[in-house]
Amino acid sequence: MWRSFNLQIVRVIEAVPDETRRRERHPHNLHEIASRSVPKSEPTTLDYFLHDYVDHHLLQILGTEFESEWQSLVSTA
Amino acid sequence: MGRIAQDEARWPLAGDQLCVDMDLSRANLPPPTRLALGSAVIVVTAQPHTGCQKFVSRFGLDATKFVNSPVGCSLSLRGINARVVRAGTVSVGDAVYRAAPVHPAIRLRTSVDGATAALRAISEEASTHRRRPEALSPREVIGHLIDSASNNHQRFVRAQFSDDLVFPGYDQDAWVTA
Repeated sequence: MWRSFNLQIVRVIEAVPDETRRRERHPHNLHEIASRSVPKSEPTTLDYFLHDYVDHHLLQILGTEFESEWQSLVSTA
Repeated sequence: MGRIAQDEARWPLAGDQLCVDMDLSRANLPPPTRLALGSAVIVVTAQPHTGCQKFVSRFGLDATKFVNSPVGCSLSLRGINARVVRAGTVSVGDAVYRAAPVHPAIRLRTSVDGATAALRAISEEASTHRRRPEALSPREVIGHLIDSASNNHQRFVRAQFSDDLVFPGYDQDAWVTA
């Protein structure tokens, strides 16, 4: 269930137009609901919130393996 | 830092852990941008960096007002805050690399695929084991993540019909218990 629910979310995220994802949003309540919060006074983006969701899942599921994802990203940067 | 402290000998007075020659503005390094320096990896956090009382006494009130002005904040003139993702060694002269931004859908698909085998390998017994009395068991963690998925699925869909990002929260522990 966890897998299929998240694969559904992958399809939702894929369908979000880039402009919608990157547009600055205000007001927001990511100071309350995000795992890495954004101050209430600062604008934020849906992109930030999507990454926050992925980070939250990675930390919970993979724990320390989370770091290796970034290691692989850095090596391709 | 060069503009504020001018003489490089006075730079350490600001108390920063790292001085880098880089555009630190919010636009160039929006949180959660990852940076690699030496063998370490850090992630830019949303918490703004503002001048503290020591900064005021060492560089003056005008300098503090300047770095904390709206323009100063958007350019991150007082620097940025970051959290260590991977500990490592950083030496003077190391280059700073920014990890290429990856589409969140690709990150999510990769992590779901990567975690599936590991999750299936967890035994029935291990799935209910709590490492600490107050910690969640693997089964409860998955329960929480399904709650998170169902709540956030709705948020991601609704966000597309709205200009703001204001969403109802949910009581995590109560949802897991239920």
